[in-house]
Amino acid sequence: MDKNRTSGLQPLEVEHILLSKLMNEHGPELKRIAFLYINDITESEDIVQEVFISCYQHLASFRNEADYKTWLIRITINKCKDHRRLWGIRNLVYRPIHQLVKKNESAEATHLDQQFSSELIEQISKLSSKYKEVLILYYYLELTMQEISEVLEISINTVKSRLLRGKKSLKTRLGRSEQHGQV
Amino acid sequence: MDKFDHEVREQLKSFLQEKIQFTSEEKEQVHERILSKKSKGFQFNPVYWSVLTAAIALSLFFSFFYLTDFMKNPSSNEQTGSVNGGIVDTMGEQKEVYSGKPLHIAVIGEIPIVTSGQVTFNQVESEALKNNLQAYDAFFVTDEHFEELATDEWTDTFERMPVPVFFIGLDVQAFIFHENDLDYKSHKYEANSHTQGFVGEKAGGKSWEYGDPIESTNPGDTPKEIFALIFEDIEEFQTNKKE
Repeated sequence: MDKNRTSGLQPLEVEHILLSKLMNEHGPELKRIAFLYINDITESEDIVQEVFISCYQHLASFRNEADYKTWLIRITINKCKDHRRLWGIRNLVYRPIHQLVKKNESAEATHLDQQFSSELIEQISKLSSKYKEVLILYYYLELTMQEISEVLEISINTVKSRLLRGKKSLKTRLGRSEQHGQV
Repeated sequence: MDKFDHEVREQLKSFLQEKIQFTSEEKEQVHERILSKKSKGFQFNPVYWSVLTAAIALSLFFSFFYLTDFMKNPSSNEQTGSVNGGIVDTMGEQKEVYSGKPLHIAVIGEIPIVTSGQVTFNQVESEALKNNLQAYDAFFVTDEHFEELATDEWTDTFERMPVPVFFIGLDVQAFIFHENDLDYKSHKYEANSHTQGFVGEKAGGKSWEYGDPIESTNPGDTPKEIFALIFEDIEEFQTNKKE
């Protein structure tokens, strides 16, 4: 952040400006990661908003141990994992009416859902979390093994093995789908 | 990176860049949500309202039934907290209360510590087993008299007992009292229960057993629930006898 430009502003204003900057720079990428992870456009919108709200709440404690991009990707993947875990409970126990209305009213979302039923994305989202997150970072973000290892905080050897197994699993899934005439 | 990797990467990137955007409306929503969280502080979720309402309704529901029950039978509610014998109630829990008909019990030995307005104890000598039997609903015998009453001198008396006699904390089988040539000292026949009782053949030859055996024969170590069960059985025996 450019300190000269923000001098004279209140801390809260500085944080909002920084947040806007981060949203502009990383928002689309994070939303695509979330979409790849859960294959649901409405939910990925919610997740990315949660990511930036969480980012804003922890901006003060962020100590540049990693760059903002790595930090935000990490938050996004964690939010996606939480979403998967809580999905059943939220849908069984309680879902706010306004969310149902939003989903029903969003013709655009419905339209996109239909278009997004790409077999590739669907099969990636169905993979186990540990393979899925490595594949997303490798294919979509084009991160190196070293970078993936830093984002996910796992060893390079683990990244390599998960990537290999994830690719194998994805190939098998896509092969199976072709055999069943789905692709 | 092989051909498969290239294809996947290309397909993903083009698809996602075309279809998934982070719109300015969404950015605005993030700012709004942050501001609304700050201004609202604690927001009462409809789920919390539902849970709270359900909890209050349940509390009122159970309070109503408790009060109704209390109004119908206040005495039984009062007794529930006191320390008496034990009766299995309708919920399957053992109470320590006897609330049946009044009972008059002769005790040969130590009077048990049972505070009940419905049960009167009279400490008597062993000879009372032979005389004035109809004055009591039952007899209790405690450990200090087991040896004496297990001798053959008392066998006939116990065989003809018209009222139930209970041996509190007896650690051998009770038939030694109504069978010849058996005594308490030899301790041949270990008990399978904590307390046993019986009536003579003419009165039906019925026998009763309560609880699991324990090391102690001290009547003070007898669980309160056992006394209440005994009182229940005495009451039942006397009722059936009258009918």
